[in-house]
Amino acid sequence: MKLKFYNKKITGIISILPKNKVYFKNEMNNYNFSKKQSLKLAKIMGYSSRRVVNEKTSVSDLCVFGLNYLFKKKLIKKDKIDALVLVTQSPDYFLPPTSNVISGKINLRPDVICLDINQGCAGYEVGLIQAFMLLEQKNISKVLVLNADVLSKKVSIKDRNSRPLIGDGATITIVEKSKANEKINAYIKMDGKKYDSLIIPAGGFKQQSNSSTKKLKKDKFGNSRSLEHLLMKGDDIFNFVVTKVPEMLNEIYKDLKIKKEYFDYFFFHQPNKFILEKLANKIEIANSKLPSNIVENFGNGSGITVPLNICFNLGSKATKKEYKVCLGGFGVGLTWSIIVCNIKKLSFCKIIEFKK
Amino acid sequence: MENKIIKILKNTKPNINFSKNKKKLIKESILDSFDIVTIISEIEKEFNISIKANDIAAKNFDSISKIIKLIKKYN
Repeated sequence: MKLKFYNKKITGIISILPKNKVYFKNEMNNYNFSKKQSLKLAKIMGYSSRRVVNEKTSVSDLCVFGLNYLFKKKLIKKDKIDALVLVTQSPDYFLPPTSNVISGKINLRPDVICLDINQGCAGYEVGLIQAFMLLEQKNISKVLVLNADVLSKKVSIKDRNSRPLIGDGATITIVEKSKANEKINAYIKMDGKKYDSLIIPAGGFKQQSNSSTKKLKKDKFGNSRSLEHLLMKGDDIFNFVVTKVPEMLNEIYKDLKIKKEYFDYFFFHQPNKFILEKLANKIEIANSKLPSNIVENFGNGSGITVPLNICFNLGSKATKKEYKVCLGGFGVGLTWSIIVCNIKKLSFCKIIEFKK
Repeated sequence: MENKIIKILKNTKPNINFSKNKKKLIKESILDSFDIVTIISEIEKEFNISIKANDIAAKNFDSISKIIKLIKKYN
């Protein structure tokens, strides 16, 4: 699906990260592999340190902390918010929607629309598309896209393939109407036939939690996980990313009559260093234009990786200059999406630490 | 070349005797995708090549002879 939006813009981005850092070297002994093997893989994949929440911290805690920071610093006014779009795969509850919980905790007026969207790796793009659609309404002028996940709670401590990758955190992106002649192109595709390439098989309503779904089972390769843990089919994901993302990019170049040189940056989702380097190589983009340093510093936080990537790699520069950017998300669903837009003199673009 | 590949495979999976192993490395679940990632990195270093994304497919790593064929493509 190809979508076009006019006169809308991103005006601020903040990332909220848990203070707690976990280091791969300290976790290696949990895995059923030699130290030498694990260190070799760590170097290739970018396993180093990641940020994770404690057992009690939830998505709403991270988001409320970030929102209160923005109110306190007078970066947004509470009464100017018209909608909250929360994109998460780790809601506080099966019901009610976590966006309603957040709205209640920060005391928003009942007129504010609250939406939860279950999306992951392409969750930033899906959230932005939803925000742009809401902004088509006369009465909606400011939408907050909240991306947040605490998936570290759902990854087996004995799964060397997934555990060292997964980080937690939240981001808040302010999206508003613009008087300038802004044009945004969004491309999005979904392939539900591959829904099980990235999945938590049990614990939902299809296969409810019980003693059997909680039992750890060792796979053929030495990783142990239960049916309530995240399962990633690495080869499916790799082939999907290096096939579908270049195809979509070529479609964009052709449709918009632009070349790759048009973009100042490609801010892509951060599955791991290996996939990103092979992808960058295939689409012939220099590493300096396609940052791949999020996993090694913070872990793969699902839908937060693109806005965190902007905060970490552009930071305050995004408040001073204008950048032509290609925002790309790809993963769970399977879903893949690219948004072509400008990041232009944001009011704020920073990272803060969650403290409780 | 075969000996170098066997050494790389053995470094990744020390418990498997690859010199006698004519089995299907992927189809028989001897290697998983994360093993392949490690093997690719070692091959790239050893043979000074960069394997393209299109070639990173299970079918190219399913046997020692297929791995040799892949490396020869880059030489």
